[in-house]
Amino acid sequence: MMQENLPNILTVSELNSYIKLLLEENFSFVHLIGEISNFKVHSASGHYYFTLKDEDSQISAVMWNSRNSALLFTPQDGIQVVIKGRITVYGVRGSYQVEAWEMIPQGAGDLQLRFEQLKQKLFEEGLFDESQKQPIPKYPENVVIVTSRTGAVLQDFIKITKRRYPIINVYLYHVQVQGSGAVENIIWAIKDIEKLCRFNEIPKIDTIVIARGGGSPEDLWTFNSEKLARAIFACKIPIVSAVGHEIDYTICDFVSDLRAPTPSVAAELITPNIEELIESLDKFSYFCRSFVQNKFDNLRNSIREIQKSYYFNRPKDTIYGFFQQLDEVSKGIEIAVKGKFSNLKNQVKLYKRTLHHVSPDNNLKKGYAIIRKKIELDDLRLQFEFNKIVTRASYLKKEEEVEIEFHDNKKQAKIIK
Amino acid sequence: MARKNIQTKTFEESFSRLEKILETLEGDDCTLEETIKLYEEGLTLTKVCYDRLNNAELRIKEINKSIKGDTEIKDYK
Repeated sequence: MMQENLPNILTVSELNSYIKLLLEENFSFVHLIGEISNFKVHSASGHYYFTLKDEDSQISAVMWNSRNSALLFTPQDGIQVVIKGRITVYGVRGSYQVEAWEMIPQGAGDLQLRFEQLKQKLFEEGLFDESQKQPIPKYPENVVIVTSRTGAVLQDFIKITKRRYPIINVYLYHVQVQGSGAVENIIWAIKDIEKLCRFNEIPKIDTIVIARGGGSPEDLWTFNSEKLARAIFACKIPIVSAVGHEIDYTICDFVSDLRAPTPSVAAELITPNIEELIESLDKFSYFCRSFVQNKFDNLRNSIREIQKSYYFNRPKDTIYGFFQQLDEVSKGIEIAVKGKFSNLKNQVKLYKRTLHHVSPDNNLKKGYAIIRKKIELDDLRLQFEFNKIVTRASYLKKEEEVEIEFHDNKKQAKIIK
Repeated sequence: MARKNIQTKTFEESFSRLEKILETLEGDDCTLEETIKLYEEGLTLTKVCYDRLNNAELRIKEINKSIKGDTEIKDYK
């Protein structure tokens, strides 16, 4: 009986279960508007945890990884959003929260959404492809900076280029960098620079830098223009985008050939450092000289080696061999010739002696005499000197005059009988 | 002829030519005649580059458009 009067006692779990059922049944689908605060991304799971609030009240909210990956923007504190979702109760803590399925930013967040959607669209079209990026010339001769002629951006840019690489010509193309008309102004500038190059009114431009200092997202909105993005993409001259601070990303950054975190960094990215160049030149001179020196030394050594080598000296040996052979042969010839000559000489001497024995003169000495008579030419009957040797007695007639030659002298005689 | 080419080269051309020369000199396929030729060219180019770097002074010009759309290029400041 007593128990019937007692209040119905519930355990905590039971109560939370009732509440869970009550809330989740009645708020299984809600649209909720509020400002994001305390936004956190769980590093491991990627789930979003945040608070949604208005002026007077707040509610915890969660967006699971499976849902938030479809978002085209990253939520931030202070952004007004409309959430589509349901209420869930987390019994363990006895707390309730909104589980968001979709999130649509309002106001400033709207810009974010448009940014993300445009980024996605241009990305899919291939405007951000690495393969479409033009290389930035390493040693530019002429660069154009498209920016406002007033303001620190230009001064910083000039200061750094002057220090790093004073070789270049910097052209300033003044444009409006924010507000209405800025987009058209910059697009015009890009097209005009290409045209001026084409008509040789300015020299060939190596790089265009589009620069603007930091500012609010609205200030930088110019650089999220689709038209500007397409103009940058179409430009044949490499473009470096240098808009805002390091944390600011614009569509212009994605579509450009190179993104510089700030205008000052842009000045550094597009120029080589003159000091490094001079150092490289020094190194070059040194290496060039030493390479050539080494080469010469090596060649000189090689020549010496070759000169000394056995094979190289063999021809010399062969030549000397020939010399020796030649000497021997010529000596042989000399000896042979000399021998032959002396033989002949001896023979001649021998002949001479033999001849002497049989010579007329020698015979005359022994008592022989030569008898000559005069030649008679029959038809003319003329007589000449005693010039015909008489070899037979019958050749002489009676009374014919003859000449007898003795060893010592000649005598005239007449044939008696 | 070669000298004239060297003078009309842009800094980039001169510098990359220098790098190329160094690379060739480092290689083994370079004949003695080529080595001497490259060495001479390298020295001339180095001098040209030094001169350009040492005598450089940043030139800044402003491209101005008139209302009519005419272009005027004048020294900045």
